[in-house]
Amino acid sequence: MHELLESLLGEFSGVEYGELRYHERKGLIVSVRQGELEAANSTVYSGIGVRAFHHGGWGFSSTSRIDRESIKGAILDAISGARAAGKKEGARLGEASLATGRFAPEIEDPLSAHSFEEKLALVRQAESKVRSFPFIASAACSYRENLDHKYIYTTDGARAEVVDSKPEFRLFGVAAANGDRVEARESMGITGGWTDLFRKDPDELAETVARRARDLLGAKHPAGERAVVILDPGLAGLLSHEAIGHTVEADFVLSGAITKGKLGQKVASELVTLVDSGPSQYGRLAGGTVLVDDEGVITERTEVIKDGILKSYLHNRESAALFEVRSTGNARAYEYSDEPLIRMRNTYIEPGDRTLEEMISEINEGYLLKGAGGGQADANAEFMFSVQEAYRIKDGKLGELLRGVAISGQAFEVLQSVDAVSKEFRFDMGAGYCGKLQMAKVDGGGPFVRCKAIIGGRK
Amino acid sequence: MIELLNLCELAVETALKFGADEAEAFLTRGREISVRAEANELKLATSHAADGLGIRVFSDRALGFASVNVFDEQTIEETVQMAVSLSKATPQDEHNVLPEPRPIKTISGLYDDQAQAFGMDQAITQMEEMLAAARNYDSRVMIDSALVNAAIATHAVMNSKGIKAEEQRSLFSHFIMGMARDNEEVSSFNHRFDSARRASELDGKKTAMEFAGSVVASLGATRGESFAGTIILSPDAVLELMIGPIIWAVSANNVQKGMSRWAGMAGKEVASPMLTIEDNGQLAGGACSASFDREGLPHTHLTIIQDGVLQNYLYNSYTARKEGRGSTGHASGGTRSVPAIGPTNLTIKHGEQSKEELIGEVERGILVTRFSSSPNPVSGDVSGVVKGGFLIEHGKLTRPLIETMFSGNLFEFLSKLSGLSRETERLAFPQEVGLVSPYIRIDDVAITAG
Repeated sequence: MHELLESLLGEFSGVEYGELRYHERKGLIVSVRQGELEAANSTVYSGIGVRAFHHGGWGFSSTSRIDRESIKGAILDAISGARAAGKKEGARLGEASLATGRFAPEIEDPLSAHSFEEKLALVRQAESKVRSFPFIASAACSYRENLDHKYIYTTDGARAEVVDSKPEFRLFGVAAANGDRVEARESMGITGGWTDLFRKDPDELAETVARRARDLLGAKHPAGERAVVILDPGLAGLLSHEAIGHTVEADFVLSGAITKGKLGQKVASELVTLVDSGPSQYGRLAGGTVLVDDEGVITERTEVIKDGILKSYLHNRESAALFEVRSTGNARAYEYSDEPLIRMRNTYIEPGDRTLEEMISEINEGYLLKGAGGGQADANAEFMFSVQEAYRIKDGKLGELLRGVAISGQAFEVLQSVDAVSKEFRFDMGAGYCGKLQMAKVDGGGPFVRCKAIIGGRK
Repeated sequence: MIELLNLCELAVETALKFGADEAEAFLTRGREISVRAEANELKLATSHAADGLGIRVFSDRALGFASVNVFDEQTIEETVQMAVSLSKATPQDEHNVLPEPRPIKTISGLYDDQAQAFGMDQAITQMEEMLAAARNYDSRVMIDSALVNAAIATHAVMNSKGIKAEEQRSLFSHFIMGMARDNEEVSSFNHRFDSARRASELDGKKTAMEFAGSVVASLGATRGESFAGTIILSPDAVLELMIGPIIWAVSANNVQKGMSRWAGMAGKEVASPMLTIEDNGQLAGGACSASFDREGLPHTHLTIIQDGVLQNYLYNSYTARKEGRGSTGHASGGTRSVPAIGPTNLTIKHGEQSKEELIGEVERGILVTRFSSSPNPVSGDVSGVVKGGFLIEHGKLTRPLIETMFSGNLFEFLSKLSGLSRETERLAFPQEVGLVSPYIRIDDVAITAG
């Protein structure tokens, strides 16, 4: 592959920049619901994505045929696309730490060392464990893995071979009684191997899911109000990703997101340091770990907010040039046939120095919110996401469990209201995907965070 | 041009040779061009092939599936071998039987004869028209991104029971998304999209102006109030709020596995008598129509809810076989996974009143033009934020709203409908679902202000 790509870089004539990205992805999905196998899917998708840059315009083309003539054809298509879209003379790409050599996460127990039979057996066992509880009406479990192998070559010097391994595990249970039904879910996703993924015992996880579904079934709905809440690490991650992270993606900034022109300003409580990082921190390799981005740039740990001050946007090479900074290594493409876009990686709030117990004890009336569900956010940082469990807090004590709700607010207002951040930290979005024209594997997390937000209730 | 059915045949025969009892090959070969704008400017022109082959096999009624995007003989053989080897390791299931062929009627209008000639230049011209239309509408309009896309794909499916079908379809689509910005004030995001089988059926300028109008109208939004009142959902909000949970509840797989609130409700009232929903995968020229489904069976024109009474669930052949009945032709999905269940072109029957009359009768409520939520399809619980909305007071729209939420249970909402508009809008989300819907009014909803 090295010789082929190296020799084809010379075909980019009449444009300022060319990029060849070979990407092979081997996928496996095993899914069981109600004791029945719903998927045993093995997929192999491979090809070359070709990109050219000229006068501020990009052309992109892709081919699944790995032969010189097909790739040359794709290069010609990309060149003509770039020349058609490019209207700005003088546009350039920003400086970056271009990768050369081989990059792979450290993995002790590779997924390939475990047979399909073992993976299937584990999924069936966990699903049947959830279903074994008498109050469970329905259960599902799935395992998914993506094994990537890439070569990223650019006309200005990147020569990277990138290997990656990202497994995920999901459990789902529905409890039902008197015509009412409610679900609970748990999921895990990491960058790494088998043992790393299953640091939590799947059987215990199954029990957690089943009991939570049962408890939620009997729970009441909270009333709607603006309230003091404690977000768990997963929700802190979701807030960081959905509500803040998207508004600092430089392409959104350029099109007028609320963070435009706010670098250096105080946008959050000084207790908040918010990071988007390609490398992982805090123990295991988080699910959104990216060592080299899809423009061949070595990724970095980017401090978006430092002690409450907005410090940086998230950049690819093009936006880095416009802002006169270096690329932060946020250009990512999901598959060979997708072009790199500015995407997040592992997005989180740094831990503080409080304990969760202290944080609860200081609340007169409020909620502890746990379990991130889906979420959406807006250019103005207004967000909405669903939460599985809400525990009432009264007079400094944790009280009854309430049905999951949606919470919303303006994310920067919410971050301004942060008055306590816990020592305890974890990544908790590793089974998550972010959708922005194409998918991206991301992770997020944080400490427990106390703040004010709106709770959508029933009264 | 490789004969797609020949490749399917190679895959099916190879699977039988390797020891599968039954085999199915689903193949897509497509070419797609698209032009994208970012931050108000033309940014990217792409062209690429979208190819895939999915092989489903049953060995002793045990499932295996493998998929690949490279079509040489050796790769196909390796992929088939993978599917067969998976099927040797999976549990038996008596319902794992491939469907028998049924007569297929060719649906007209799914391919535009002009599609081959539609080139990058035309896509760029259309994009420039869209951008200009949005910008000229109002200088405060900010376009985050816009897309013009043209795709041609041939789909072929063959199985060892004698199913053999192939069809070429074209699909043109566009999308525009952004906000309005007035000095420091940034409105909510909004977007508009449309898709059609024929290029001439799309009007980019109209889509762009509707988008621009919606974001400008949402400037100056202020917080709402908390009350129990009426909501009127626009077709966009209907798609966001109602369609997912309804389709979940009528998908036979969810019904059979205890995940549908409507299990055992066929023939019973599940909604207000005002509500009638149909799904028609045979609609001539429909953006989600096809002459056959993912398994090679014809789509149907199916009534899902008639006058509030649940009529039919959606089946693929696996779920149909479990109940000893026929598939409704709702096998869905692409080449990368086993057939799932999905809708095609949905229509919610319109009502008699005009949209203005629906609003005029509301003492206090919200017109919801865009809603952001993650409705829980199992319980029907929904709680979300009004992203585009207007307060209604004494029958009149008084002001745009932000940070206003409403909550409740979608399945309960369905029995609290108090009016459907005469006007309908067509929304076609590429490759997923088409919807024609009126404005829908629902009474007695809990609304929370921030």
